[in-house]
This record gives sequence, C-alpha cells and structure tokens, in this order.
Amino acid sequence: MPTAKTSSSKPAFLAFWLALAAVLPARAGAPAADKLLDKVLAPPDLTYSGRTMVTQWFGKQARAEEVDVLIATGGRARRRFLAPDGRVLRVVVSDGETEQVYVPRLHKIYAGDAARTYEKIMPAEKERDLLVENYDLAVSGPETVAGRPTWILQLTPKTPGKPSQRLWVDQQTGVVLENKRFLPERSFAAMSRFVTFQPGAAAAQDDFKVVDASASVMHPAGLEPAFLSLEELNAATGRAANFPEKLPGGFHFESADYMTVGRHSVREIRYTDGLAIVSIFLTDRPVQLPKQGTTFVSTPAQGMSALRLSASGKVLNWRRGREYFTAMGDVSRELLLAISGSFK
Amino acid sequence: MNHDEQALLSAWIDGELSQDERARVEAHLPGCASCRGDLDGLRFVKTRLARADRRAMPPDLIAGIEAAVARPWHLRWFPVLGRSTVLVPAGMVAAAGLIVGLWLGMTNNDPDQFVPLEPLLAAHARYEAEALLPEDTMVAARYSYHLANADGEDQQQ
Repeated sequence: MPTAKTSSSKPAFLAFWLALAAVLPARAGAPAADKLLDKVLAPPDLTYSGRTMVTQWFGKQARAEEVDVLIATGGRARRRFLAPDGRVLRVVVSDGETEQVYVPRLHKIYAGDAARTYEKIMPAEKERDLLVENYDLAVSGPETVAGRPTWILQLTPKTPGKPSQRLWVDQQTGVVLENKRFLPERSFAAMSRFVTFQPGAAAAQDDFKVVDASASVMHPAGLEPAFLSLEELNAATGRAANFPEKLPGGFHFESADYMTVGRHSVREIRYTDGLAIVSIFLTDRPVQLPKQGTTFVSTPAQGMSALRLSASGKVLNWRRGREYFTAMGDVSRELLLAISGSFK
Repeated sequence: MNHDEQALLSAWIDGELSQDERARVEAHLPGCASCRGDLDGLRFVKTRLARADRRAMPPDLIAGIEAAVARPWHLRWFPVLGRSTVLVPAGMVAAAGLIVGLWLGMTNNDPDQFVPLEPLLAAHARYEAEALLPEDTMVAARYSYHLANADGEDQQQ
C-alpha cells in the first residue's frame, strides 16, 4: 500500500543521506585528481623547513634516517641526513645550479649539477601523458600530516608489476608532506614523511654551500647526467647500440648517457612510464652483485645464459654475446624478466 | 817399425787371434822391445785381476735394473714420490692449493674483472631526481647513500 511504502522508505532514505553526509565532508572541496597532480608536478617556489623521516626497505632490511630539510626559493635545498645520535651522516645541498653531496666521515664532497637544470629528451607534457596513460589517479582525504590538512593523491598502475604511489599534499602550500611508494610484491618500499613543517622559514645563501677545506672534491659518474638520444650516444661512444623504443609495462625510452666507472666504460639507457624509472646499463665486464640476496634465474627461452636478481634494489644481470646488461627499477621480478626479454 | 801388432797383444794373451794373426804377433815380438814391454804390463794386470777376490752378484740386481727402466720418468728421477707417506700429503696440499686458486678466481677483487654496482645504483637513483614527480628527499637519500657506499664505506654502520 502507498502509505506503508512511504513510511518504510523514509528511514531508508534518511539513512542513505546520513551515510552520504558522513562521507561527503571528507570529499568536500577536494580537487580533481588531475588538478592535484598538476599541483604536485609544479611545486611551489617558497621557503620552508622541517624534519622528515625517510625509511627505505631493501629486501628484508630497512634503513631509516631523520632528515633536516631546508628548501628555499630558486631551487635551493639543503638536506642533512642524521644518525639516531644526531651525527650528520650526509649533507646534500643545491644552490639551484650546482649540487654537493658531503660525507663528513669520508671528508669527501661529491660535486655535480643540480637536478632539473637540464632539458630532457622527453618533453614534460609527454611524460605527464605517459603517467596518466599508465596510472589511475584518485584523490582522498583530508588527512593530517605534521599537524596540517592534506589531500591524498593515489597513483595506481594499470598493469601489474609496477609500484603504486600515495602522496599527501599540503592543502595550503601544495608541498608533498608525505610520500609512500608501494612495491608490487611488498607492503611498501619507501616513505618520507614530514614530522615538523614550517613554511616561510628564513634561509641564507651560505646554507646551500658545503664549507670543509679539508674535504676532497670529486665528480662521480651520475651527478652530471647527460640526456642523449640513441644516435648521440652511438656517435659519442663510437659503438652501435640498438635499443627498443618501448619496453613491457608501458615504459618508453627517455634518454641515454655514458660514463666511466673505474676503468670500465658504461652506457646507460633510461626508460620511464611517467612515474617509475627503469635503467639499463651496458658494460664489457659483468657487474658485481652482492652475494647475499642474489638468486639465479635461467631463461633459455630468451636465449640468455643466466639472469640474476638481487635484493639490493631490483637489479637484474644477464649476458648477450660479449656484452653484459644490468637492469634496475622498482618493478616486479616478472616484469624485470619480461623487460630483459626485449633485448634480444 | 810397424806396431800394428801392438793392438793385437791383449787378444794374443787371451788366445783369441786367428792363426795368421797369431803368427804375425809371434814373428813381431822378438824384434820389438816396446811390444814386449806392453806385453809384460798386460800380463801383470791380468795376473792381478785373476788373483783378486770375487763377490757374488746380488740375485735381484738384474730385476731391479729392469724395473727401474720400466718406471715412469718422474719416479725414476724423484723416487721419493713413489712412497705413499709423501705422495698422499703432497696430493692433499696440491688439491687444497687448487681449491684456493679456484676460490680466488671466483672471488677475484681485481677491479678489471667486475664493474662495481654502487656507482650504477647511484647513477640510477640520481636520474630519479630528474623524474617528473618530485620525490626529492627520498631520492636524495638514495643516491647520496650509494655515492658514499661507492667508496667502499658504509657510513650507516
């Protein structure tokens, strides 16, 4: 009967709206996922300081460090990595143009160019398109980090075997206050989280230079990266390298580089899916993997002699003729093996 | 004077000459004082040898010579190797040396044998700093750690 129907549907109707009301405040004012992504990709040019905890998992081992962070306008940054007893383990400073990695215990300064001072081969717009193509975006929150309200941007890979990522973005400044990277085979691989955060902190120019006259200055491979096309790499090294433009998992060629490590010449090919990075290194001698955590995988179907997986980061070694390949990336073992199969 | 007969004197004493040779020597001796002197010397030596004590030949001498000739060269020159008290320990030492050699070969720290991993990890992590999504502190933690480790120092300890 109509009357009975009305009386019975009323509580259900109210319950629905109450439930919706309980959810809605969390979403109220939440930005669209692509807007929040753009906010993250264009970090604010402001000065702030704080304390961050960084934890990284390597196989079954974890390494946690407290970091004293000072970020200033103009791409200037200082990060002091501290031991539990307060000792300074490492200092990474950038004045926006040059970067120094200072290791007090070794009395060494590793000098190079500041990050993001080069023009990459792949335009930023294409890299963003790749990210959106390879990952599902979602926004949740708010949640509080370091006493501040944040939105959570979730990036979930569309294909299995790749890392997912969750970013806690400060609602007021747009600074990423917490960052968690989840590996496909583990609960999560790395995180950084602000414990304290003070926007508008004071910073002097001297804060972004290492002063230690007794330290020796070195220029290691990798701190001054070049971004070469394959043709430029072949011309620079005098060797013909033919690499696939795409790899399984949605990875695209981004750039190449070459360096000297000890007496060995090393060529590096980098791939990106917009978020994760896979590097392929080519050497004339095998790369020495740590014995602990290294396993051997035979893949006769791919025409390779042997593959090695290491828990020290995801590292895979194989040989093709007289060349040795080493692949690195935060992807699953299966995906790394599939990627190795692309280099026939 | 023809002294061809002098070479026949020893055989003449032993009665080993033919009739013609014996006749030649016997015709020569009366007119050759030198050959007669040589003949006296030969007779003296033969007489002394005939009077010398005789010893019996060891019964296993021939067998020993034959066995020695039949041995491998290394045992002929280094007969001590044929003794088990020497050979077994020497074999063990050689085997141990071989194992150590193989182990050293497999764990060769010669910088030319292998490309060290840490600089490559550092280069990979440093490139992550160029990624689209800024993860600066996490990435800086990684590559600064690998740079310090590339010098063989684990400063976390």
